[in-house]
Amino acid sequence: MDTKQIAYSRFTEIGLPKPRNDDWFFFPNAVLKNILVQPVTESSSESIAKEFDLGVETEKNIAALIPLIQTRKAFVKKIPANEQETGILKARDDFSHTLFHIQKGADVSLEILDNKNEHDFTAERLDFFLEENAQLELFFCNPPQKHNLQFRHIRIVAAANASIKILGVQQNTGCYRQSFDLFLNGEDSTVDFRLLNKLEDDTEAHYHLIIHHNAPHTKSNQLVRQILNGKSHVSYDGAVHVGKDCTEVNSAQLINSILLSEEAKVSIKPVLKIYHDDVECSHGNTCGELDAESLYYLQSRGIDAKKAEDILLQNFAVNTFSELNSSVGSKRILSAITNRA
Amino acid sequence: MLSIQNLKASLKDGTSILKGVNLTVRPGEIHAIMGPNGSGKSSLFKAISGHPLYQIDSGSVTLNGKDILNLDISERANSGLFISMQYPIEIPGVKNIDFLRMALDSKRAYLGLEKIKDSEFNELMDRYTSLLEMDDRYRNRGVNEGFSGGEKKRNEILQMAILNPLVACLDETDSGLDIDALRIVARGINELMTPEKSVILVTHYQRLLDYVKPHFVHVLRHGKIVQSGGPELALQLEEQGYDWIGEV
Repeated sequence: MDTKQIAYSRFTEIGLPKPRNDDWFFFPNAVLKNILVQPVTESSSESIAKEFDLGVETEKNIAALIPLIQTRKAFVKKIPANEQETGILKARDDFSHTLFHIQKGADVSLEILDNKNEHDFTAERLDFFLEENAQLELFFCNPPQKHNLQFRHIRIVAAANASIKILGVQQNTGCYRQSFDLFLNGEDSTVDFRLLNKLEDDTEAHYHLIIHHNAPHTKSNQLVRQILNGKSHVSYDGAVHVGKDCTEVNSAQLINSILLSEEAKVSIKPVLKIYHDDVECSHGNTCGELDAESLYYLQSRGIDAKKAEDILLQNFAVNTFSELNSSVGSKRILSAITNRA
Repeated sequence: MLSIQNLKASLKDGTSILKGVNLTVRPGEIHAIMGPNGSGKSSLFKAISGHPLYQIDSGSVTLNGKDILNLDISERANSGLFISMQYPIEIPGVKNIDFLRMALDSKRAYLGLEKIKDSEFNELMDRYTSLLEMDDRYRNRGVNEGFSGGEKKRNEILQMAILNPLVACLDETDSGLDIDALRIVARGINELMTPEKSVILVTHYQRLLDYVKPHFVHVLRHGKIVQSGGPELALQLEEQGYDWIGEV
């Protein structure tokens, strides 16, 4: 069987998520009832299956399976050792699967662009395999766009000393779910995950992330911020798994949310599964309105209320990314945030 | 001129704080307000500046004849009222120099003036940072970000200098200052005073008043001004405390 058939078989086995499925607890599952999942037969992804383990047999996430089942042809790219590459990733079809094999010491920065056509349902899957000392920066900061129902699944496997940076600004409307499976399989591999949601109306944005610390001295950082208005709802289910022999792992998760309306909602679920004693793992979560004292301070210097609010919100947004070393992604994102404010 | 007449104010939860404050401050005058902890000194400044935790129950506050209680916080500031905070807020990520310029341009827009020119603004910054012995670090760091207590107070006086208010209300500007910083800040206040401006100082100690000489000293207690006098009153308070002063 090729990957597509295995994925379909796995999908029929697990089925659409039920209300009691923890991983989909916050997602409005009713929107899934009309989706039709059936394999397209135009192409085979057998060659991918031979070379890379996509974890399909044990996959529990239908959002990771649907793109494999429905994509017509996977896009596979190899970045040779020690090469540098910057580029964009843009799905042309409703369903897509992209795989990057980033070889030793290569340095890759990719911007993920939204498909601009309005669709009832889209699903994409991005796989990355990083060899030793490879670096990957993925970022997205698309202008606001309506998505009726969108899945995006990103799966990254990192070898020793590889580094992953994921930076995102999300301001689309509609309903979407992004899931991340990040495997730190080599010693001293790292992941830095930074996400800003600026949402309005009745947008539903749901995130499911698992960082698997499968090797010693691995390090991960999650900084997720929300500015929510209208009836928007964000859920963030962020898990850190530390394996048995993974000594001196360091992991941090911080989530800050500002709710600008009474009907905006945020649901946070931190999960730590730690099977080793010699680790440092922290998580924190704050939720509130704009700081009244800061607003007062700015206004007491003659700055009107609206502008004072904008300054504080922009500051909150910029600080999600400002500590980062200068990179293609961080520059692009900071420029997008400051220009759109 | 700032005129506060029979001002009564309370916290939004209904707790009465100011119970009939009367104070008139004319151009060119320096007033000092002293009083025990919790007597309402900081609350007086917050209430007249429009702090959201306070509500005005009765009375009036006018600045050059204009009722400022009907204005929002920024309009009161742009009309010429400046409050130097006891605990200045940190706003990381907003450069001090950008903040100062934004504040000044807001005031100029309120007054119908064009934005300040680069050269003019740089000249102001150079003049006042030099007066207050502040180095370039203050310009490019976030507003009060990582500043020591004394640096924050100095930055408040820099804001006052740039914004050039008619009435500056300085809330415990001397707290957190070492001897040298106190001297520098006091020099700044004195040099910024002109016959058109006035200053109200809230302080617990005579030491600030050794440098900034007040024309009038008032004692605020239980939400009212219960005693007023000249500079000698501060010396008497330093020696005898507040117990000898009765209620009004």
